[in-house]
Amino acid sequence: MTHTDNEFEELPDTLIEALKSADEAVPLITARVDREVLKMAREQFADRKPAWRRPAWAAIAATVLLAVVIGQPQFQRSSMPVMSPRPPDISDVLKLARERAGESGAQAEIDALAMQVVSLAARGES
Amino acid sequence: MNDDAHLVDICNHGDARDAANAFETLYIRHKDFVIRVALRFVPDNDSALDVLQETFTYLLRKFPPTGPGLTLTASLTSLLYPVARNSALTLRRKSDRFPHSDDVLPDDLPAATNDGPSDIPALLRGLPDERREVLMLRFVDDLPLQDIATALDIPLGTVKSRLHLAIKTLRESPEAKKLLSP
Repeated sequence: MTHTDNEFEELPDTLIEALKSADEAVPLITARVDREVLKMAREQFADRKPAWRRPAWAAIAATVLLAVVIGQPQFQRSSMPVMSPRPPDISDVLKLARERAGESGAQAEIDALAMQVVSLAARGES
Repeated sequence: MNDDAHLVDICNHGDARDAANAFETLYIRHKDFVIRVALRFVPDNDSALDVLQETFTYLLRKFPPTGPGLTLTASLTSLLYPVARNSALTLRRKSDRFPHSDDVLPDDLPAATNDGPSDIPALLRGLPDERREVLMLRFVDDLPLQDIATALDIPLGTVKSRLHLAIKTLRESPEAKKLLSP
């Protein structure tokens, strides 16, 4: 027990013990009452789902947000025709330049594609 | 050991098994207190058991899905005490068999004898209800004064005043003097 300044009036231990003895009614809490109370508790909470089955709204919201962000143009792959059946040419360079105009780091990608087109052309593949 | 606030939180938000286990722990922890309180207002064990069941049913209904959930702003005993007390008083009112101490004329009170510690119960029965309950909450249940004020929904100053008067009566009684004498 935490005594504060307000616990200003105390009793001698002998009297406190006498009070406690006077209050000792030795109640008999039957097993039936215990069972009934605990049965009520189980019924009350019966419909609660385990935590792993409850929708984690934060996780769902984060997933949706991630999907939206990834769908933004700046997060899409460049239009470099990586899987294209034909080799890239100058039209691909121009298309990439139009799509990525003003983006930081885009110029390096455009230059790389242009160099690839030039090298292919030099080897006579274009 | 989980404190009551944590267990209450599990009852609010836990799954079926965790919530039932948390409630069981709260029940086991506080059932003796509740039945002890009940027996201060009703005269027999069966009535006290009814009070015990009603009190914990009330607490249970506070939790979802039947209730909005519980936020402990004071000790759980401060919440359980008025529920148990009111339940016991309602039960007592329903039965004419149980006289209030307020209703008992002084001549009807058991006479204090000089037979030892058993004099104290008679002395307690002679105290007005409101003084006796503050005295018991303070010294038998070990509740701080502020918790008693919360449990009884009365100002702290009133608690102090009632306690002062109860202690004064107790100290001045021949029974107490006999106990305190060397």
